Amino acid sequence: MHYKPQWLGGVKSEADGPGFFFHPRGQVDPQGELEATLEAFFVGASAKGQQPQAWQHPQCRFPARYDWLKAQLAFDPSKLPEQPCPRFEAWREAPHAGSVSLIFASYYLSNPASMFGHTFLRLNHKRRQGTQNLLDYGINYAAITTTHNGILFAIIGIAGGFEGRFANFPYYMKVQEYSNLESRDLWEYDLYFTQEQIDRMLRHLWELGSTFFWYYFFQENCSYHILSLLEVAKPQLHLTDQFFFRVIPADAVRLISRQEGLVGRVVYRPSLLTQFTQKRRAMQAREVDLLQHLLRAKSLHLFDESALDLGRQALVLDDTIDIVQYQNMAHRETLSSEDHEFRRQLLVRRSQLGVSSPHVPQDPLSTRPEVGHGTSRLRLAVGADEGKGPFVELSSPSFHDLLDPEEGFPPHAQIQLLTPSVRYYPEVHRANPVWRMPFSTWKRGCLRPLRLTSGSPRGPW
Amino acid sequence: MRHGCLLALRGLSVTLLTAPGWAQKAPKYGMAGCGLGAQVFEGQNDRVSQVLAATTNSTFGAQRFGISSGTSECTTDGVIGSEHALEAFAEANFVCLPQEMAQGEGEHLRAFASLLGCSAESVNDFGRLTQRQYTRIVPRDAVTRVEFLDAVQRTIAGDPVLSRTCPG
Repeated sequence: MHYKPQWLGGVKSEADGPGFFFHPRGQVDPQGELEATLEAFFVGASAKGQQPQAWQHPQCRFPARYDWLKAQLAFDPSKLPEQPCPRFEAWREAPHAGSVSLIFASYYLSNPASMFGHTFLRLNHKRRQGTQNLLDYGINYAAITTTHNGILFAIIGIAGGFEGRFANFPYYMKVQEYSNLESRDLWEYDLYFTQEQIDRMLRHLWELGSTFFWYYFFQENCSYHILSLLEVAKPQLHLTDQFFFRVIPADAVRLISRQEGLVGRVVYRPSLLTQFTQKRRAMQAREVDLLQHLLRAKSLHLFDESALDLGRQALVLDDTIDIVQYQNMAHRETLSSEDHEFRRQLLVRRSQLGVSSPHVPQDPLSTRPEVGHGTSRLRLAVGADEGKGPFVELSSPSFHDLLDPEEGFPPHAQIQLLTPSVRYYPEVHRANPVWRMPFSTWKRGCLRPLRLTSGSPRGPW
Repeated sequence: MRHGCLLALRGLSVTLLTAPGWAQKAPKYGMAGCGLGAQVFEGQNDRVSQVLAATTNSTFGAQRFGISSGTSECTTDGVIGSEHALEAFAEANFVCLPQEMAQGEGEHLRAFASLLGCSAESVNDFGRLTQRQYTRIVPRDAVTRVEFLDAVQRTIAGDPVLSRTCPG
């Protein structure tokens, strides 16, 4: 029910959609809600007659609640007949979920908004056993945004003004979105859950489909609710209560990997950007020259004269095709007719080579997110400023600083969010008591809302 | 056997042409998106809204893929109906599929083959066939989804081995 104790006493459910409760005050009144729920379960199937077509019996709308109460109270089926739930059953059966993976979509600095990463779940098909993952279903929790205005968006998002909802997507759509459109690497963490635990999670997920949670960027965000879903599967896990101020996806992954016996295999899925970067690294100098020429000339003219063998020709063409696609994705523009024609020529020529692509190791360009450092730190620094003399600085560099170890983060980059810092200049301060300090000294210790720096060299394309 | 395949093929073409929404919609995708993916940035071409979309991970189709959301044109409670599985996959991967066909292999192509009903052993043959017949399957750049699927089916039916191992 997602009840959480409140600071002022009592409890309140985190679920904010009224459809989640039977009792009008169900969000804050567990006892009333329990009684109303039990009453609703007794409604006869004949009640459907007066309801709209999409109506489901309460037992079917809330299968996890029903199941739990049935076990706790030992329902007598002759007094409380169990209702058939074809819609729920069809939905639950469709993904053939035999295991679950946690997916982390990594940061990509070309898109500042992706800097915290994203987490969602994948339901792995029982019989396919990890092959054909593209055809599996993903479980995503996201905000339904209602504005395109940047400032409004930030305010509403931080204040929790957007509805957050669960949805299930084919995994291939997520791969398209993250790997190809946004060029973000995906890390897939297989989790050990029993079939019973997975079924319980799905029963609860179905219940959540009918409601929403107010989405808070920093607290009740994608990671928070994904973690809470894992707690439903395995109540022994204590995940959501580990966070006080904010839940950052990388921290969530770190927390999951620290749980004993929870994480199995970890699979890396390189983004388009990683793929063509690795292909380029596997090339010899003259092949790189050829690649650059192709991209500039947008014609296969020089390619015809190159004396490369078929496999190496395939490598150069593959990389060119990837880069053309990447440029298109990155600029989000429709291709000009010249680009269309060039891409067409590349693909036709590639098919005519009639060979497989040479194997290129797809090593990650960055390390796994959970090996990175924590994201809340304090820093004490000393230095000197021209004109104002030596200073002592206290700051809380949030997320990732250039001076931090790079493991787990994009290389040569810093991502700072709301970094409060205060500098103390003994010489200035001696002359002016704190309350009479010139404004300019305070300005030094300002609160930077967001700063992104990337020192990664850009590719030659 | 051959005859059966052709019948099945005709059945599929009819479904494709009559399926509401999917098949008849004018293709909206440029290269920016793989079919379904093209809707991500529909109507929001400025940089700001793209960035915002990523912040909240508020992707398209939340309605269509909402859990217990009821029935939409291709999904029921957020799950794609099996009769739409092939079309939806082709639509969402409309850039990757031709590319992997030209390369003769790939993860998307394997998934596509399994949706076409190809046996696990015939997946590599399917990849080589699509590479050989690339210009027949994708005769020009702006091929529609329906033409594409139709050409794939015809190519399979025209191959003595795959018409048996990818019965559709």
